[in-house]
Amino acid sequence: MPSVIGIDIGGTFTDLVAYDGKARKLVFGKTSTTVSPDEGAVIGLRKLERSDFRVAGTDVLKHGTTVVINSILERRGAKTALVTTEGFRDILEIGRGNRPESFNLFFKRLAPLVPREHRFELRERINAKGEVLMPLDQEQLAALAVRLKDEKIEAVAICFLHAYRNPVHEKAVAAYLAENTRCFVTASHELSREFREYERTSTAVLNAFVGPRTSTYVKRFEQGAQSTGFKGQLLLMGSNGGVLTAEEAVRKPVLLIESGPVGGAAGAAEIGKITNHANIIAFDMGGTTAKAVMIENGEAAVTPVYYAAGYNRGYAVQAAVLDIVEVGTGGGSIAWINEFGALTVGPRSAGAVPGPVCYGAGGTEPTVTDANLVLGRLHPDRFLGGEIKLHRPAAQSAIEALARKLEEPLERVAAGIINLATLTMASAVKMTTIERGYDPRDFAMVAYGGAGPLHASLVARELNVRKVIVPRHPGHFCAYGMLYASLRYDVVQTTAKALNDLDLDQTQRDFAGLEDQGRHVLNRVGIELRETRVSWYADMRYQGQEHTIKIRLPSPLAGRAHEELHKLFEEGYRRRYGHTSANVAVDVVNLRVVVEGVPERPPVEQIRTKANPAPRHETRPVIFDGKSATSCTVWDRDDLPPGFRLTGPAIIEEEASTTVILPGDAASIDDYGYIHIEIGVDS
Amino acid sequence: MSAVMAAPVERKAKFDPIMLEVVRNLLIATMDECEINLSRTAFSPIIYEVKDYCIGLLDHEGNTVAQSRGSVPTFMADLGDSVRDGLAIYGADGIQPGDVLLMNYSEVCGQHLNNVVVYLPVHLEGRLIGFMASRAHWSDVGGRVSGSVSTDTTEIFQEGLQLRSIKVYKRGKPDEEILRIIRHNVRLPEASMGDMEAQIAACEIGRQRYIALIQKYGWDTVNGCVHAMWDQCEALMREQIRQIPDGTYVGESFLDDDGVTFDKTIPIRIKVIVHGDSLTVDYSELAPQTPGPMNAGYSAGLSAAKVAIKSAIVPNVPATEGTFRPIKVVLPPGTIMSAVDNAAMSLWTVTIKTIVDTILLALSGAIPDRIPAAHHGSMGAFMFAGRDERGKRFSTVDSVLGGWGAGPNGDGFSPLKTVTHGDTRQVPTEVEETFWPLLVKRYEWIPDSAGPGRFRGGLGLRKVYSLPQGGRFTAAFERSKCPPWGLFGGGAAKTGKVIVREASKEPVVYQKVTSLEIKPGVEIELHSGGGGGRGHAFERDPQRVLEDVRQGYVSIEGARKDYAVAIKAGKVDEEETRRLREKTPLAG
Repeated sequence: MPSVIGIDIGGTFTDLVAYDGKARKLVFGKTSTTVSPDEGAVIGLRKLERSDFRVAGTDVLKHGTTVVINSILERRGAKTALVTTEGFRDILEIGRGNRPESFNLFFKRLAPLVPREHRFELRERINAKGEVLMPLDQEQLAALAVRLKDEKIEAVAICFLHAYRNPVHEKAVAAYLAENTRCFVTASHELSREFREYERTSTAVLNAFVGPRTSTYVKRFEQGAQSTGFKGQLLLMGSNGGVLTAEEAVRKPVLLIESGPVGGAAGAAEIGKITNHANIIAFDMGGTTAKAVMIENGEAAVTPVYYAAGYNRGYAVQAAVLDIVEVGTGGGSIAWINEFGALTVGPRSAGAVPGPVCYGAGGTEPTVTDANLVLGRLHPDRFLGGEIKLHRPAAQSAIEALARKLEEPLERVAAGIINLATLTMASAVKMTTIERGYDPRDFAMVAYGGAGPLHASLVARELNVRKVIVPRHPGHFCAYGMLYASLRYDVVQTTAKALNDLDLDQTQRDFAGLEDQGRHVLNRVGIELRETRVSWYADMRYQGQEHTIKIRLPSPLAGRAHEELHKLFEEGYRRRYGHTSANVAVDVVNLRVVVEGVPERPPVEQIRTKANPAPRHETRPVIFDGKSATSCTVWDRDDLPPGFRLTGPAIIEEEASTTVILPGDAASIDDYGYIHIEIGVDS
Repeated sequence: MSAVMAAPVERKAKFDPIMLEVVRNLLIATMDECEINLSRTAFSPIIYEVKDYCIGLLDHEGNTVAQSRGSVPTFMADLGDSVRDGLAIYGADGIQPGDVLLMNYSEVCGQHLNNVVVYLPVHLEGRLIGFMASRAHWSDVGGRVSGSVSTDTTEIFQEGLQLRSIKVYKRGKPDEEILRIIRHNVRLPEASMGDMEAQIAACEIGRQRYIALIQKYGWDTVNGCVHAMWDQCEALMREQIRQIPDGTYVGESFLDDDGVTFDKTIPIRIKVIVHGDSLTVDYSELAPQTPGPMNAGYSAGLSAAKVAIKSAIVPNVPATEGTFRPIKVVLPPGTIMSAVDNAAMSLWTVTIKTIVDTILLALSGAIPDRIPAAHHGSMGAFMFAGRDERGKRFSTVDSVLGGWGAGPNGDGFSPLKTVTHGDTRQVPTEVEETFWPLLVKRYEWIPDSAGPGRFRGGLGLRKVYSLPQGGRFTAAFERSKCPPWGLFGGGAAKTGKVIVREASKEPVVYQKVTSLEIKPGVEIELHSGGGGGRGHAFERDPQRVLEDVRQGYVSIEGARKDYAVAIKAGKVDEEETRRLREKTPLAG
């Protein structure tokens, strides 16, 4: 069994989880995140060595990083140029012209990352069929290379119209500029083979913008790891839910844009497999945000277009990105009274500094954590394993101030804060399940992150989810989940044809070509794979519609009838929308292939049965109904043996997290030490 | 005759502030859910891409309880009139569970017939407690031209089929005869029927969720929270109006023409009267209704006022029945915003943008810091139709993006659609060229198109099309004679237009044109307007003018002419600039 390390670098802490393949054991490590994040990683690796883990003998190191997204949000990237088809250099700035804030007369989108003076046009034109209407002007290209040098451009993005169909001009320009300048060069077709010029241009620009900085970071990270003796392969967590090689990450850094939360989703999918739940809502709640990812039939949902810095004002990325619902609701979210005189929670957060009032570090506005403390759901001495001692009186007086303004009792207001935070999180999760045509009732929730297990059963109730699973070490779950992430390549090609016009033999060859691209990359990685999984999909729609749905297609396609594919589409459509339209033709807009290389992965260990079938417990008063306290049993998770059952109200405490079992709910511990909460029906 | 939008209600229920937030959040989530379903299953691009729709939950009298957030602003809180029409016709007892009604009757809805309302009743234990309604733009509702929208109709009958609170489903069963009438009077029956189904499905989801909400929390709680929300919104609106100095504020502008008679402009004069905590929008001096299709009906006149007032005064307060209780609208029948007698309304949405802009202009005298200079203000709708290389019919609809007006703290943004568009996206060139026989030659900023000012407006855009197979072209552009104005000394922007260029012929400029024949090789150049400037242009920091020149937003000549800034060798010529700025005095 190979040895693997996962490193998740968050805003405050750097988490390490390592699996020792020889000794068959898991080792955890934690350090503070450093200004230069790779330094913290090195410190963490040295710590692992001291915990008797041999970094030198490790085969694979997996790393989730926020370097790419931070570089974009802070607008700290390369001096970038854009090269476009003549007449189209403003596409980047024009975007799509929408105004998501419908009543804002002063709406503004974020300024483009490439100013107009660095957007250059070349004479060339390819039409929608991929035919060259106007050849590339070589003289202009030569002059452009000189200009880029004069302007001291560090990175260049190239996006020509219809290059997704025929990239010949993009390839020529990319090759020339790579040869004749020292720029980091990105051509749009390398990242996206789908139409929509703004989205593809924006993707290429982001990639170029973060390119030089990300390569430096990855190289430094690799050297740092090697300095601690690591000789294996470095893999980076890709936004699509899989991992990328360092070499690929350096060429396509934009694919790391949501690298951080991927580990949790991979881990949740693995737990789904072990516990026989095909459909999972992975629910991660921390200090400032809550995130959810849907896992359908064992596969994390991805979205084909992502917006860096948010949909309203941000930048489009046309690439497969894990479909993460993120809301500004975390332990540090501030409760306040809005202009209507109504209680509101978030999106402002007290963050880690000063943090909630109860941290006693200068916070004055009450937060979700303060409400949990006042209600007795958190213990003042056992927060984060006792690392931070919480001040209950301070939290109480902060919430009392709100209660006086609302003319409501303290307990009700504290419960109201929890209630509203729950609603915000549940509504966001509901949206993604509904958008995909699923009923949340068909899902189990895997809850992790410091505050996930504390809130999961409330959110689950709101969603009518019947089962919550709390994995072991929920506070380190993102790093742990990385151990289970596969190598994954998403390849796509726009076809834009009526289904009945498709020559299925040709389509079979197109799919096979896409599959070969993915397999080719996989074969170069040099990691032993347990299996390779390939899935073929088509984005299909009724003719006249804009939105497509992704339909899984059988392989091989050749020899099948169009009607069979039409039927598959209608089944998917009916599941999602509840109806179909007879007599309307179907379009095939994109072909998608996912090639997944599954390496040998650490087995999930069963926990040893403890001798003590009656573990220690105590009781403390906890308010659940917003009115009065109930005597609640409190357990220590490390004491609970497999097969142990308990009923709510109850609280299970552990090093970095607290699990709340509500009145009416029941919980049990399985062989792996996971807590299974059965959500009661009295909600 | 004058009318009052909503009578103030003397109801100040004591509410539970926490339950209220719970109900508010759940209602919003329900509307969002309905909206997602509609926009993802609709057939007409104008619904799924242009988001020309709205979805609302109304009470049993047609008052708005909640509305989806992605809806286009113009459709705000005007679904009630449709529902009240059905109530008047059938009575509350005549509308049964399982009924679905269609409505686009122009005398009540006040907009072009493409905008079809689908509504269905919500019953609780046999009692009518409300309605779910959705309005969406169907691609075609019949009439004399494909797409049903043209620039030169003179009565509503030329614009398509009128449906006045027609039950297409009766107690859950479709009425096949009525459906057959519709199917055979529209050009794209699959699309229109598909859109109708999508609207019904979205309303049905809303109905189920609303009932579930009531079953969980109880009717009295939910209903009490809804009324408390209205009271809150009303109180907040009154509070905001009280802070505006009392007075009568006037905005004046005009429209180019009515699409039929081209030598006559249409004057727009609107008064906003602020008195204490109430505000009146007085339309009584508007131009009379026109023979051409620039008219809108009374209901649209109300929503234009609501869009302007909400955007200017309470952009973040949800649009509920209560929000507009302090607003009175005076709108006598027979004006361009209250047309009667089967007036043509095809271009109602072209007019409404200038109406909103003019109300904002009036308000700039009262709350100068909350009002931007005028935006491009032209629908700039453009449509291509014809046959592709395989002989298959095609037709397209889109509208231009242009500049918005400068604000008190910065330049205007560009590009966006208009003030009555919301989260509406333009169709990408690569998508246009893939599905339709169109070729786009250029799409770029027009230098010097922004209104100059201490803060300048946003720029207009140029988009050049050709049709390799030929075809027909329809456009509705406005505001060429009354360009997007500046405020407080800022200059007006360049206006939008269509230039048709044919080799060896003089270019022809159009504003409104229907079914113009386009031969292969002819270029159609669409120009959108910029946004107005704010403050005198000579007060603009010369370094900012230089930056605009560097980026190509302003030409060197434009810098000299509009801003009196001389630029030499990539730098501001300080001395020359001082001389230029002294020579020309600041004009008001």
